[in-house]
Amino acid sequence: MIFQPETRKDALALLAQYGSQLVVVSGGTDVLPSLRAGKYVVSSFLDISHLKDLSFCYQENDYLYLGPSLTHTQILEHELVRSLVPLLGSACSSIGSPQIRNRGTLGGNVITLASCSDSIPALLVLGARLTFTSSSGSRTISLSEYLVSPLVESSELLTCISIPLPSGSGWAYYHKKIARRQAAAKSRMSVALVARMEEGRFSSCNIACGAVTSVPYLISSANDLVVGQCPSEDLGRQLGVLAAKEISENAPMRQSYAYKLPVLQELVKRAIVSCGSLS
Amino acid sequence: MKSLEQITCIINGNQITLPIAPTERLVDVLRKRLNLTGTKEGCSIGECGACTVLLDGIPVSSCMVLASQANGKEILTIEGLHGQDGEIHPVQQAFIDAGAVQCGYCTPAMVLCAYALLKKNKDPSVEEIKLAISGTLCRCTGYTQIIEAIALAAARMKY
Repeated sequence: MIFQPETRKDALALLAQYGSQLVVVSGGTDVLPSLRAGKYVVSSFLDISHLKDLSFCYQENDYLYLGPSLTHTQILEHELVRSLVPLLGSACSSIGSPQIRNRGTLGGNVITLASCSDSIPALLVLGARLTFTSSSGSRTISLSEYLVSPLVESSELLTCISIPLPSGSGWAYYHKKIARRQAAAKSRMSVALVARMEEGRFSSCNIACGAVTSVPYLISSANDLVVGQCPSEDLGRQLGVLAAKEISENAPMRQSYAYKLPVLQELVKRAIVSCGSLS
Repeated sequence: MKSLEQITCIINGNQITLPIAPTERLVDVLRKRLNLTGTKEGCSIGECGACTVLLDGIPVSSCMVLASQANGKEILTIEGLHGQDGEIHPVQQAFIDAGAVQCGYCTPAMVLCAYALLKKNKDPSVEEIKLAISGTLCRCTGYTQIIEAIALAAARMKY
């Protein structure tokens, strides 16, 4: 079976009725390879790609509200994203190839939660929140909470990704992706940073990495170390060491750490140094 | 609500209604059922771009699109591309003139990506051309001629 509802209400009613018997598909860039690899025990689909009420983008009360069915291309080309959260546009432009960006969706990235997701580190440092809706109501949680416990009821649909908008001036952004080639490549690693600078010193700093741990990781020690400090190579090195230590203590050991942790240290250093241009 | 059992879409200008299976891919509908074999299948996992078609004018990998998702949409494959009077399209002519075709496997996708680019950008820079074809792999390593062909097509189509 394949259902193609035209309204969100109809989609939620189908999920309430069939729940885990349905695979939700939007862009299909994760679902189709998984289907080919025989990863699904069910072969019934809920196609939400036609739902216009999941493709919004608007600003209201210091938040930017993004529909989960927005494609990466729609996000990176959207005027509000370009002007309000350029970091997210930059992260989305580094995903896959034009053909993948034309189909893959932001909501799909959140649900698939791949280690190497390029959009999630950016959403993490921006403090994104997720709203899940079922026919009996909705709940909103922070993306960082979701990463700890990515549980979605079979009756729920991701219906909104909201981003608190940075107020005031002095915001610095950094995004870097490393891959085997420049285009159409999975991340070997990515690092995203949002920091606020006041009189040449950090007043806040969020930094996250992708493709290091099993899900993208927000480096929790960043803020405590750098707030009040000026961006410098030395500070970047200190945070790099701390980040590698934090990850090796908190996340299960992976064979790739021998390569990835030293590279992470270098990228963290570059991210911190890049904030100096605003000082 | 009933399960979707057939789709109606416009393929190369012709409206078509056909029954579909839930797991059927757009590339299979095009190649196996409509015999539109100009669309090639390479990697089957969205990495090589050989199966690119235009879905409502936008390049997509047809191996990553369920047939059902084409419902109500307009699809252009290489067979549907032609000039104003039915002759070969200027993008195709430029590929011939610039020697941009070697084995030909990536050519339908390259031509469609170039066509989609030139539809929205009449005078693309070399960097914009590279970006537009960056999702389509050419293993004959003929990228230079392909980039030259697209620049040539852009120059000819301006007049």
